[in-house]
Order: sequence, then C-alpha cells, then structure tokens
Amino acid sequence: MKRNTLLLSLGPLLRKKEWFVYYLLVVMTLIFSALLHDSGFFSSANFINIMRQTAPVMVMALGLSFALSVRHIDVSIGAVVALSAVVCGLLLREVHMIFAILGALSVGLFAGVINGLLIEYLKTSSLLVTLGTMSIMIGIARSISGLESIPITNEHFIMLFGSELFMGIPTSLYWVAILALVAWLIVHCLTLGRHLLAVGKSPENALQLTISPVKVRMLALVMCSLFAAFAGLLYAARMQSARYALGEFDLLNVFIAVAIGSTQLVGNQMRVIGVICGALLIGLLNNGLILLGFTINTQLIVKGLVLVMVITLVHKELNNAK
Amino acid sequence: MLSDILAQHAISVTGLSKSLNGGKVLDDVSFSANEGEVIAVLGHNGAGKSTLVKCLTGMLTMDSGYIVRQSQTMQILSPLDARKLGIEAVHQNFGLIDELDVVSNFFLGRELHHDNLILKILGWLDKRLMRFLTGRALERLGCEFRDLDRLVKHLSAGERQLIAVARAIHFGAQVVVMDEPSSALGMSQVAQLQEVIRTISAQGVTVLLVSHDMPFVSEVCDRAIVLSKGRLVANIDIASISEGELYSYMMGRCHIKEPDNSLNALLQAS
Ligand SMILES: Nc1ncnc2c1ncn2[C@@H]1O[C@H](COP(=O)(O)OP(=O)(O)OP(=O)(O)O)[C@@H](O)[C@H]1O
Ligand SMILES: [Mg+2]
Repeated sequence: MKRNTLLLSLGPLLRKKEWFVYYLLVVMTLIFSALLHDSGFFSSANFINIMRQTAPVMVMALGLSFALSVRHIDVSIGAVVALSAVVCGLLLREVHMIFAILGALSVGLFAGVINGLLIEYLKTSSLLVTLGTMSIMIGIARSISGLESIPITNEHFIMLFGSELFMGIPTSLYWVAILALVAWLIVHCLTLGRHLLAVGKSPENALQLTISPVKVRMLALVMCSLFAAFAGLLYAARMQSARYALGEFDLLNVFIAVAIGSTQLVGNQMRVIGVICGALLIGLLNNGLILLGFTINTQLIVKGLVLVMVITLVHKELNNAK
Repeated sequence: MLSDILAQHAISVTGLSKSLNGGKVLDDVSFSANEGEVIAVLGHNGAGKSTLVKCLTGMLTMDSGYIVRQSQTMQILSPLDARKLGIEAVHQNFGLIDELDVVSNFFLGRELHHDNLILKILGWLDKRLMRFLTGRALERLGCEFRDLDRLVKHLSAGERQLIAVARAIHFGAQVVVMDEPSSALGMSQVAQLQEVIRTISAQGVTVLLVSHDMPFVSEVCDRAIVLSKGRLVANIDIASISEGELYSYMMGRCHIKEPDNSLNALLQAS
C-alpha cells in the first residue's frame, strides 16, 4: 500500500519528458560505473576524454536543433563538417590562421544559404534537398583533398580549438560552452528565438503577424550549417588532420542526441542544455561500449536501437509522421 | 470629384471579390467607413465575413477590387501592407502562438529592443518594457493577468481573446477589424470592450466589427453592412432600425428570396 502511493507520486515526475535525458544520463553513468568499476570509467580523466570526443557532436546537435525547430531536417551537416575541416586544413598551409577559420566558417554559411534557397524556392522537402547537397559537398571534399588526409601543424590553431588543456579543461570545451551560450541567448533573449518558435508552431500565424517564415527558416538553416562548420574546426584541431571522412558517422549520433534531449523533435523551442546532455549521453554510450570490449559493429547496432526506442517512446508526436 | 468624396473616408473598399477553391466567397463588395465610425459586419455563417477580414489584413489577397485611403488607391497584398496602413485585426482564431507567453504573443512580429545600437542589431529583446506595455494594454480592458509569463495555451478562451483584442487595439492606429471579438468573453468583459471601442473611436480609429452578439452590436455600432453569400446586401444606419430588424439582418434573411435556401445554408453551417 505504502509502496503504491510512493509510485503514484513518483509517476508524474518520472513521466515528465523534459527530465528524461537527465534520468538516462544518471542511470547510464551508474550502469557503466558498476560494469566497468575496474577499468577507470568513473574517473575525471575519462569524463574529460568523453567530453573532448563529443564536443563536435554537441555543436552539431545544437545546430541541428535550429533546423528542427522550424521543421526542417538537415542531413548535410556531416558533409559540412568534412568540407569545412578540409578547407581549413588546406588554407592553413597557405594563409594566416584567421583566414583559414573564416574560410571554414564560410563553407557553413554558404551551405546554409544554398540549402535554404533550394528548399524555400523549390518549396520541397528539406530531407531530400540536404541529402543532395550532402553528396555534393562530400564529393567536393574528396576531390579537393585528393582523398588524402591533410596534416595540420599550426600550433596556434591546435591550441585554440583542440584538446590542449586550459585550466585543466580542453579548449574545445570552452567553444562548446560559448556556442551553447550563443544558442541559449538566441532562444531566450533575441527576437530570432521568438520567431523561430512562432514559425515552427504555425507558419500561418507567423505570417499573420508579419513574420516571414521563409526568412526565419533560412536563418535557421544557416545557423545549422554554421554550427556544423564550427564542429569541423574542432574535429580538425583534435585530430590534427583533416579528412573527407570526418563526421561520416556523426549524423546518427547527432540525431540521437537531439531526440533524447528534446521533448518534441520538430517545431519546438530548442532545449540547449537537454541537447548538450543528449550528446553527452551518446559520448558515454560510445565510451562505455568500447571499454566493455564491443566492436564498432555492435556499437552501431546498439545506437540504432537506441534511436528507434527513443523515437517511439519519447516522441509519440511523430507516431503519425508521413 | 469621385476621389474627393472617397478621400473624406478613413477607408473605402471598392469592388472587392475573392474566390476560394473555385467558389466565389466575396462578390463585388464595396463600402466606406469614416474616421471613428464603428461598423458592424453582419451575415449568417459562411456569408464571407471572415474572408473579408482576411482580405483587409492581407492574409488573403483580393482577386479584384481596391482600397482607397487618404486618396491613395492601393491593394493589400500582405499582412505587412495592412500593418503599414495602420490596419490591425482580431482574427477568429485569435492568431496567437500557444507555446509563447502572453507578452511574447502581444509583441510578436514587432518586438521592442534596447536602445543600444549593438543590442538593437542583434535583436535583443527589451522584456521589461514589453511586459509593462502589455500589462497596461490588458488593464485597459479590465483584465489584470496575474502572470504575464504564462504560456497562452494554459489560458482560458476568454483570456486568449482578450489578448488578441488588446493587441489589435494597442497597435491599430487607423483601422481595427475584429472578427467575433466577444464570443468567449464574460458579461463584464464585454462591457469593458464596449467602453474601449468607444474610446478608440472617439480618438478617430475606425472599427469594423464582425459579431453575432446583437445587444453588443446595437450598443456600440453606428452602422451595419450585411453580407449574404458573399454579396453586400444592405448598408444600414443602426439607430434607424429596431433590434428585431437588426436580428433578421444579422441572420441574412432580408434579401434572400427563397426561405428554403437560407434554411439549408443555416443547417449546412451548423
Ligand atoms: N480556404 C477556403 N477554401 C474554400 N472555401 C472556403 C475557404 N475558406 C472559407 N471558404 C468558404 O467561404 C465561405 C465564407 O467563409 P467565411 O469564413 O468568410 O464565413 P463567415 O461569414 O466568417 O462565417 P462564420 O460566421 O461561420 O465565421 C464559406 O462558405 C466557406 O465554406
Ligand atoms: Mg467567420
């Protein structure tokens, strides 16, 4: 009897979707800590390592949330990561670091504008358009890199974006924090955040209030690609090389992160902290599975299952999706 | 000469027609309104009242016809056009975004920013000022929201309607068009709304009022235009007729020849 009332009072709390990601994070940490108590999973060094590895995914997931919030699905972000890293690597050989960084970011800007123009003016599916631009960008990245991995030796660049420790924390994580703050400010303090939500909820109502859905959706896609281009910089600096295959497997990770971290996948206000925690969860899962001795094949299967589970359990609003 | 006459009006609508899905919803509708005049738009369900409102606010573009304002002839092609003309509307669906709070909805599409140049370029919201102005505008309608941060979806239909009405009145510099502004309001709120409509009309704002609430209409309106099947069938001085006559106008009865048809239309609409 007593147990029943406890469960009843816990029920509504547990069913709160916005808490889901935090429960999972705790549960997963506990499970892996128990399973891996002798292989150093539960150590600050390993957690820093996980964060360092997950930094690009966190940034990409934040970007993707912008696109999803206006009901666009952008699958070209993996390709933007690769192209931005390759462009950055090539430019670092020739010009000052600043221009290499600007070059890489302009890849994102350009990709976002092209995606946006194609989607809005052809009035067609964002999924299919970005599938097309993904292929185009991968093709470009492969050809300008000559299928070679481009070594990056610029120490300043590596220090600025890489795994170099600053006050005990890798510099890449400072960038994650800065970009998360930027995203948070956009959502909560800037006009753009209101307009993103308005357009995501009801383009007709937004139009009625003289908000241009086309303009807002374009901006969302540009933010999405810009964040991906930034993830490219983080990758290049961490790997100290740029390859056309960077970001290849990240699309799945990013989608899982966003799916776990948000209460409603499309057309909703983005949840910055939730999405970061979602990415962290994927990092934990990857790391834990590796330490448990699973191969990448098993990891892929597990993550695929996780995505399907999260989508069916948490995102019931998608049940009738076309 | 003609344009001189038209120029005296705050707004004139001439030859407005609109088809939706092949059916003619508005057919050659023409009327004028003076500054500060309160005009009722009457007609049975499906007569085209909301379509008229949408054409005036740029939600729908008119197929033919034009608007004359300050001796300028123009068409309203987008909500922005309407906003530039000082036309503001309460739509039948209220036009609110459920997942935003009261203040955000009130200022949606015309957010206020801080004065600082950089913050202005970034679009940094001046939340305090917006909240203050929202509170004041709602207070004017006799509605004191305890919590302006509540999401609109958690509010009652009446409260939502008040927000839409307060917004239109606050921003409607020249013409305020209201589609059923009192359908979800309580008695005292309707009285407040009447008061506010009188105030803004005294300030020279023209009000177009779509309503089925007859006491409300006869209380606050100067004139009524009647739509039936998309045509303007009457343009009457409210003071000159009785409530009973007004009621039959409202049902669009007067100018429909076959009673069977109107009955059918009513049955279909309900
Ligand atoms: N999008 C549309 N496509 C086709 N027909 C439409 C559309 N919107 C409205 N109509 C038709 O136009 C006619 C007028 O609609 P409207 O909404 O303007 O009527 P109304 O006078 O506002 O009615 P109510 O009193 O029910 O609000 C109706 O017969 C309706 O079926
Ligand atoms: Mg209507």
